Amino acid sequence: MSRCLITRDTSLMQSFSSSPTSMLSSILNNKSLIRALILREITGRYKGSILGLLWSFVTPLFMLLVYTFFFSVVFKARWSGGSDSKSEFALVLFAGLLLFNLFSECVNRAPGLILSNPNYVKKIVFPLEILPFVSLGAALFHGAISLLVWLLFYLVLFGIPPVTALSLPLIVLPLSLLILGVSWFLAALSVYLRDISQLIGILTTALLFMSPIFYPVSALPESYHVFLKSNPLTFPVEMARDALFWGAWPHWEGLVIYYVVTFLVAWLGFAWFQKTRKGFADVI
Amino acid sequence: MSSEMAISVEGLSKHYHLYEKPFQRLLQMFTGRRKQYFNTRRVLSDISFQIKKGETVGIIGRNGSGKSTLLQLICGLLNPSGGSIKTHGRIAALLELGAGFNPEFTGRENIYLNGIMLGLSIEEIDEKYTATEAFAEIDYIEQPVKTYSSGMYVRLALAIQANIDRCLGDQRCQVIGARLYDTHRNPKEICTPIHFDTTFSIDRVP
Repeated sequence: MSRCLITRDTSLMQSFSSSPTSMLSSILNNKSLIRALILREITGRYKGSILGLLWSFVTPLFMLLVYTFFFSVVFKARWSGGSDSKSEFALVLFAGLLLFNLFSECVNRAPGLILSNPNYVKKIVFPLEILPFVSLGAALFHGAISLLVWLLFYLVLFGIPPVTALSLPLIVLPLSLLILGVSWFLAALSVYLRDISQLIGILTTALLFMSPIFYPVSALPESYHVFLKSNPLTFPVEMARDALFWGAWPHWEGLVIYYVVTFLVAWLGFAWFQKTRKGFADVI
Repeated sequence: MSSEMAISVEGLSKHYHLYEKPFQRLLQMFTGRRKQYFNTRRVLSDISFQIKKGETVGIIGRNGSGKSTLLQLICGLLNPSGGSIKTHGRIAALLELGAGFNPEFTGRENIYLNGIMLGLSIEEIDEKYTATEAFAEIDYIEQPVKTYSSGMYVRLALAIQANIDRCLGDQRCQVIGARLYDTHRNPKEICTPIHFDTTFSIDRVP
């Protein structure tokens, strides 16, 4: 295939760089578009409903109430190593769930990012690679609201949250890189392999139970730890719980390694997306 | 190339590869030349032409002769199979009007969103907003576009596109071609689109 040179101000078919720098520059070059799309995503979800944006506050509030009721009254669950406090389990659980939901919300939507927007592929010139940023941005917004609800609960039940909670952004950032990498990979792959969108719902549900969300890692026998630790969500979930609830700072060494690994995942996902996007228009 | 040139196409050709299953497209990308999963359909072969700034050009051909394909190639939506395309300035594709619209949002919101999608900055849209709204001649700019009639929908989409240097029009644009032409002549409006609508034929390779 011969190359063609086209000079123009929007990104063009032929020049899809997959370098880490172009990963960053695709954010910077499309700042206002990403912002507008995230805004559309957030406001669009509740468009036409009476409560509107309030839903993103009501939903986690209600979920946390349900968890608190079930795990303290019905199941009488106790977090191993925790106190006798009734509401403790729900709050510890919800802290881990915050991060898991961020991941699963984006990953569940990833296979549809390209497939559900055929116009962006065939009708207008559109920087397709920004779509994972958009879904991540919207999920981060909803995650932040959930965190707010969590903090309110904590404030009412236990008082001021530990100062270590401030380290949460440091844990969410590499998780976001992981999410972006997986989203890029799945968004592109599902264009060619339509089965992915069916499969991914099952996989994320399985992942929910295979991650230490409802139980701490220490609740499992030693021999299972390797298996659990190889789950990319285990580390951030445990760190977030430590930071938000148990008042422990992140394991810095582990965090650095996690940054390196998730950056590689993001880059590989991006490279895969850039490599395979040339064929999108042929099969959509 | 002179700065007068807006679009220059050299020896352009496009073959579509038809795959039975989407997955085969992916396999093809990784097997290279060893195995062929597709059937080829040649749509354009060896096309050359140049369009100067300010020209209005039309492309005529029978159904399926590759007019839309050519426009998609110029916009960069499709990869050429051979040859080269050089373009200058901002290009808007009227391949489908209102392709980026969200039906739940109001006309105003869609003007901004679509404008950004077309590469305009917020300031530019602010600046052109009044003219865009006037061009669209829609009284329901604060209503969701799903309530618009199809004519209003198309007018709004066109009003946004008219902010762009070059428009590549396709299909339904005859309806609005006349309107663009009016604007073109009317110094009151700020829109100065250079639009192609129709004038050379395409070699059709069966």
